[in-house]
Amino acid sequence: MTNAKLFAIKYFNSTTLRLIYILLALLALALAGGAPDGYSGSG
Amino acid sequence: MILIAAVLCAVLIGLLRGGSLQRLAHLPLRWGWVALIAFGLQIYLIYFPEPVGTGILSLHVGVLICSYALVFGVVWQNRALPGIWLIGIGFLSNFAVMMLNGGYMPITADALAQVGHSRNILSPEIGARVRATKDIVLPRDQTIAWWLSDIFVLPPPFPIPSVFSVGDVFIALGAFWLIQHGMGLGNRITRAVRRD
Repeated sequence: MTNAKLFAIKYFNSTTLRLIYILLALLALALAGGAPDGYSGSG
Repeated sequence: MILIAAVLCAVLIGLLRGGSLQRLAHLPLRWGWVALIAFGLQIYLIYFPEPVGTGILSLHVGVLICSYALVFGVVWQNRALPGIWLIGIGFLSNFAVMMLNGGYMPITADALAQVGHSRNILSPEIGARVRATKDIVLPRDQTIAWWLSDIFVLPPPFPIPSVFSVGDVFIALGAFWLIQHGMGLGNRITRAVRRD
């Protein structure tokens, strides 16, 4: 339990959440503007 | 998938070059949530394809136009960031060819066959939708501005067989540039260019 708490304190801070947000936003921007032949694993 | 791979490769290459994820987290990207909404709208379009032949005034194409308007808004809001103008050119290129061809990205049956995705064509008619894409199948001679459509083929044994457009190339390059800059490597690129 303590280890989980330490892990959470170390990695789930505002910088990590902001990084996830930036990466998701960049992916969304690329995918929404792009038009390759597949968005799933098939392409 | 090819664009997801491009973004992930940009992050990986950035890390290998000594870039920082912490700096990327502080990239001053504006309206990122709007990009998420735009792609959310397109999920409907991509995964619930409508029958063939409903044309440019259909609900699906309306949703697509709305999502592209949102995307252009995000690009405009971030026009000061390096690489965004390349992404904007890519969007314009894809949007133009899609609007010229009934609202969807044209792709030839041959190109889909080369990457083994023929099974995703939803019906045998010309103009059929392709599952999990914004594509319609059109012969080359019936495609307006064919050179802007999905013409580049990466066939097997490439790990992610895919067909993509010149606009997708611009978007991938722009995203790569933006991510490298965001990871703190932009100044190095600029300095290297100036030295040359």
